[in-house]
Amino acid sequence: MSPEELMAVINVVADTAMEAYYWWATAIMIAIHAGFMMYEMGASRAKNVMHTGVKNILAFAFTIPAFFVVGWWAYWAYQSGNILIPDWNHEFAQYYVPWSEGMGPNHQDGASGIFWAAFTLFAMTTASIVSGSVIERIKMSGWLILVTIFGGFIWIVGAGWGWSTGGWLVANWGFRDVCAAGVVHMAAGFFALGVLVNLGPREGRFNADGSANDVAGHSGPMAAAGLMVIILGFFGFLGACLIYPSAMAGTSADLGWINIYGIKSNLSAFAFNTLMGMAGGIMAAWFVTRDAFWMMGGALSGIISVASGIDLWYPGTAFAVGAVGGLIMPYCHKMLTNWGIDDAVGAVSVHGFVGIWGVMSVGILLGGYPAPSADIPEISFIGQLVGAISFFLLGFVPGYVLSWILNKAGLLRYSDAILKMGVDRTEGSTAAYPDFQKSA
Amino acid sequence: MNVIRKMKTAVLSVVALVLGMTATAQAGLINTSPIDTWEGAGAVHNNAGGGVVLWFLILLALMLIVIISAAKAEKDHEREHG
Repeated sequence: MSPEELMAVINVVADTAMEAYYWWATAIMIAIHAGFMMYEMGASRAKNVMHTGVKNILAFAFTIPAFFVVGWWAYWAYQSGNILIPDWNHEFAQYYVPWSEGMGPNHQDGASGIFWAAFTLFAMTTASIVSGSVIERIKMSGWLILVTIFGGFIWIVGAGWGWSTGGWLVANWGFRDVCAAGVVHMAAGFFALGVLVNLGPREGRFNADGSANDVAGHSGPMAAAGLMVIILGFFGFLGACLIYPSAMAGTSADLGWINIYGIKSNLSAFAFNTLMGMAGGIMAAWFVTRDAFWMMGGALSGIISVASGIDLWYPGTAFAVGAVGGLIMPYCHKMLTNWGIDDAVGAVSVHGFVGIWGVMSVGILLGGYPAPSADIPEISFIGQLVGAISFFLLGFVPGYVLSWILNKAGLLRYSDAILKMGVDRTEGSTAAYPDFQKSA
Repeated sequence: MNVIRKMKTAVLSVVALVLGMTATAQAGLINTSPIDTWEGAGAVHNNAGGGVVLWFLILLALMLIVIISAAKAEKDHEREHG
């Protein structure tokens, strides 16, 4: 066999292994959504459980075609450094319009479909993050409009800005967010905050004097197990943030793993810091709350805290960075509650505020790490700050404006009478526990 | 009454089926293979000759219909329950 023939065989093996890698990473990511659904159903009162579950599954169904029609194409249309108006003429954007050769069965392209699938699951993650905050009172119609627009388009604008070397945040500011603390978590967390301002609280959450009541969900064990399932899914998510070494994935078999910015990296680095960050988050959250739900929220907070610099931390530092995330999370939630915002599962705190910490911790502790090329600035505090502000605005402003419009159109919140009776009963969903569930 | 309603539904279904099949044939959505042999085949897009736009519109219409039907059901429930 000639060297050329041998190289061809190596490339075929690497390309097919790359496809298999993302196939299974995508499958594992579905656990994120199973977990979010379990968590949110557990956190719902019995009279609203099935509506909550249906909401999660329909969000899944709507995000897929929305991301097919607009999202994947839009990601590539922001690779020219543009901020607001997509670059329709970008080479890859042209390749990924929904009726192009890149968006369908193509024997010469084994990368596009599998990368689209992985990014679609990222898109669904943004929708699932928002989903928990709004349970037990949002109308299905309004919810579907929100997730279609946010999961199908808005968040991916941020990915175009800060999750590729062509994006303006990276090219101009050296922004670094390897596993999407800003791109996914901050954008989704603050989109949820924008929606919550207009949506209002769950029935019974606040008293007339403004004091808050605890609204206990119907199943603590289901919620706790759901959070563990989310963490399993995040291993798929984080793994899919690396680029597999193969020619078809745009690299080469001999280069090794690279991160989304084209910088050498590997799963081993991800493994150290994911687990250490998670452990720090759990411990700190348990220490300050002594509460099972917040403890598990601490696990997510720990992972999100270390996400931006996941392949650079010393593991001991990752533990401490994760612990800070677990520490600030409950206080951020308390602050929101004092402002009269009812975030049913703490998503704004876990994903939004801890996402800020994840992005900024890189600026504070990892400044000076070089960029993938000489014309891109190194990691800096200011670069990360510009990124954090951008993702706050990208999430909050559309969330507020869209939900304001939906509220005016009567498509956002169920009436008080329906909320009192329970949404499952009035919306015709199957009762969650028909053998013994009491009517509201 | 019930029998008449069922008959009416059956007749309408048959008419819709025939119209649908006719439209499908006219739009060139059947026998759509763009290739004669697998040898050297690259991109394989069924309905590449123009049907893609129709499927695309159906996709968008379905998403819209589901949202509108959800909004309508919610309005009905609010009317019923307050």
